[in-house]
Amino acid sequence: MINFDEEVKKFQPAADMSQLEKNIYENDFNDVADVLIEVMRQAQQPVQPLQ
Amino acid sequence: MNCLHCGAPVQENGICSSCGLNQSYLVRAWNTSQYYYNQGLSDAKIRNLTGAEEALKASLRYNKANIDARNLLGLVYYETGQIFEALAQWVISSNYEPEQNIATRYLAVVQGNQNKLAAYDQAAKKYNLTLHYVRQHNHDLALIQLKKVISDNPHFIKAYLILALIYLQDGNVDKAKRALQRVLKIDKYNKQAQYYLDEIVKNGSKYENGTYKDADYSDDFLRDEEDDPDSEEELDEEESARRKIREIIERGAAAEDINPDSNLEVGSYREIKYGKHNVLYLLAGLAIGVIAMFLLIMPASIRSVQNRDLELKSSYSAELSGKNVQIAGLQEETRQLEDQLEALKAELNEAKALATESTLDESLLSGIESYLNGDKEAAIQALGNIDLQSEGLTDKAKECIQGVIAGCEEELGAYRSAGITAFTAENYDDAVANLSLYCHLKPDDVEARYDLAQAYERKGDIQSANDLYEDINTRFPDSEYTSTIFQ
Repeated sequence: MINFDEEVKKFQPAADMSQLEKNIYENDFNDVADVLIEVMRQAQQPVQPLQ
Repeated sequence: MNCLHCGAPVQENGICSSCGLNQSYLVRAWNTSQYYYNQGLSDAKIRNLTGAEEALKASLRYNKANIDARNLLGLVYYETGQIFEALAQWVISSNYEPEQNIATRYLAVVQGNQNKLAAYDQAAKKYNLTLHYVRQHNHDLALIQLKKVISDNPHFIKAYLILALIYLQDGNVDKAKRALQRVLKIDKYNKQAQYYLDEIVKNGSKYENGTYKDADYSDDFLRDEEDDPDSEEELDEEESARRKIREIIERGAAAEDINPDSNLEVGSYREIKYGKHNVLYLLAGLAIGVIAMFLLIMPASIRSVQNRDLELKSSYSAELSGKNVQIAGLQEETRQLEDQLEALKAELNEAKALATESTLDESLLSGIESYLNGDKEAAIQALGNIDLQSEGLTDKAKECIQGVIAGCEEELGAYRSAGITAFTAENYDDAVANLSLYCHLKPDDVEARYDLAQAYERKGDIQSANDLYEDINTRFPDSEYTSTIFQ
């Protein structure tokens, strides 16, 4: 049987006009290249000594 | 070779000189992105929009600048009624590739119709409101909002899914099934719709009987009673209020004569039919148009025609007065020309008189000279050219002429004889010529005149003959020739 309340929880609010800009920025996520660059950047930072 | 990520030159070891990325990793990532894009495209072609969405999102994880994947993801969102998610994808896509990008055309098409865009916005807002109502178990208000959402955005599959869920909860299994079928028509392999349909197939009767709902609510009641003993009264009030709303809506539906099975969207809510008033609106519009024409347009056009008439009249008047002035000028000119003509005629007569006088003088002198020289024949010919009755001749000249004529009696007699001979020989031309000369110089010889008249008559010159007969009758009334019958 379907649990109505559980199913309803799966529904997320739809984006409207006011959220378009936010939606655009959120969609500009990192891809593989960005991840690799971030990894390389972190690898080049000096290791912080443990206190 | 340039870097696939930043476009800077790549070193021989395959490392980008600018961003430092190993190109072999990037190539693998891009290939994987392309692989997911192809999968998404295949899914989209068979209307597996859920699968396509997942594949295209994966494609973008590997390469966020995969324009085709992003554009297709936008199209998938658009088809499933998620307009603003689609717009976001197309905006990002056109930002990555401003030139030769179909996303710019999609954006232009969608943003070109601001009314439709506003309707999509309203649909999204109402859908969010619906979620709020559904979470509060306020299904009637949620249904009303959902009908509006579906009317504004007919491809919004999330709205159909929540609608199906509400129908299931309320025991309307058929309506729920139709809503789910609509979802599967848009997105053939929508997992949620398939799951709900499976549930309907397995437990459809339970939903129809409402056992599920009752059980669910009974649990809620139990929990509420445990949590708050005073909540029973509040729940009764809430339930009664909900029932009242439902009754009001159902009454409204009955008044509008709604067939609940006519279409998917029909429930207790239906759009007002404006179509039946269209004819009335049309007639009212026509009447207003006609009245406006008579009140606004006709007076202006009549005034315009009147002004045109006045202008024409004034122009004709001006032209007429101009013509009158011209006619008066021409009349004055004619009068002056007539005066000039009269003056010229007078001058001409004077000149003619002078010319006659000079001719007379010349003929007279010639005749006298010939006579004095003994050439009487020439003298007779010269005197024959003189009008003996002319006022230009003085008495002295007339005496001279008569003297010459008297001196030439014998020669004149020859003319008379020659005329009679010619007349006898029926040579009337010669007869007229000789007798005319004779009669000219001897105007009192009535017999010769009579002979000349006879010659004219025989020749056919009746007018001259009659003139002579009349002259004889006038001047010689006692002559024997007057008895001659005047012809």
